[in-house]
Amino acid sequence: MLTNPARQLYINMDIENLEQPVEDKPTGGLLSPRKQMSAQPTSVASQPAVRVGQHMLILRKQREKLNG
Amino acid sequence: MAEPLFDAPIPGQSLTAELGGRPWQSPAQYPTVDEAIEYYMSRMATDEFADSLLEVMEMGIPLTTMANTIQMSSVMEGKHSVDVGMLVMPMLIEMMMLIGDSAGVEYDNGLTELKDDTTKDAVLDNVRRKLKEKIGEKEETPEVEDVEEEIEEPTGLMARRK
Repeated sequence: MLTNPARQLYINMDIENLEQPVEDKPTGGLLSPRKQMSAQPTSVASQPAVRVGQHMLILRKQREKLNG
Repeated sequence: MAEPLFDAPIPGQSLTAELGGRPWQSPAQYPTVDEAIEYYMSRMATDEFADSLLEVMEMGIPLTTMANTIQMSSVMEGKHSVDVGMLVMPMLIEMMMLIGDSAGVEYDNGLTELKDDTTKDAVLDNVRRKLKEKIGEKEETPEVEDVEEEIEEPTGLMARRK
């Protein structure tokens, strides 16, 4: 029986291939909407696991800097 | 055969407290992953935490075990839900690795699979104890000598002659 899932969870975090959030380019037309109609973000970055992955990536880069 | 667990909860023990009386039965203090990460980051950034963490690391306890213990205790304190704890756990391991690396401490991250050729001392002790018990039992019980039964040769009229 698996009592500690930490190892599996860590291994399953594929942070090397995280999808980078794509910023929408604002259009410059006169009739272009000033605000986005939907406030809900549709990108993958809104998923909690991805946000955890982004935090992990920052920490890992720091670690790599330390270890050289 | 599996040995019986004596530290298991008594049937009905969960019903001895009032419903909602436990911290984990009320809404979590940090319901989202972002809030939980912020909580852990601020907690783990303190010198007190780092000192105690490094002590435990030097004792050889795997980081995966520590991460699981930390998140589980937070769940029991009602800080966050079990789901958030599961999501946050990899980040806890990464953070602890960073603390260990920055302090230059050698640690066991617990991510490598257990090798079959390494046997824990506790297992060896258990086997040794069982062997001793078996040897003791053998010494106590008298040995039964193998007695060959003498087969009586048939002597009837119809018996085979040699």
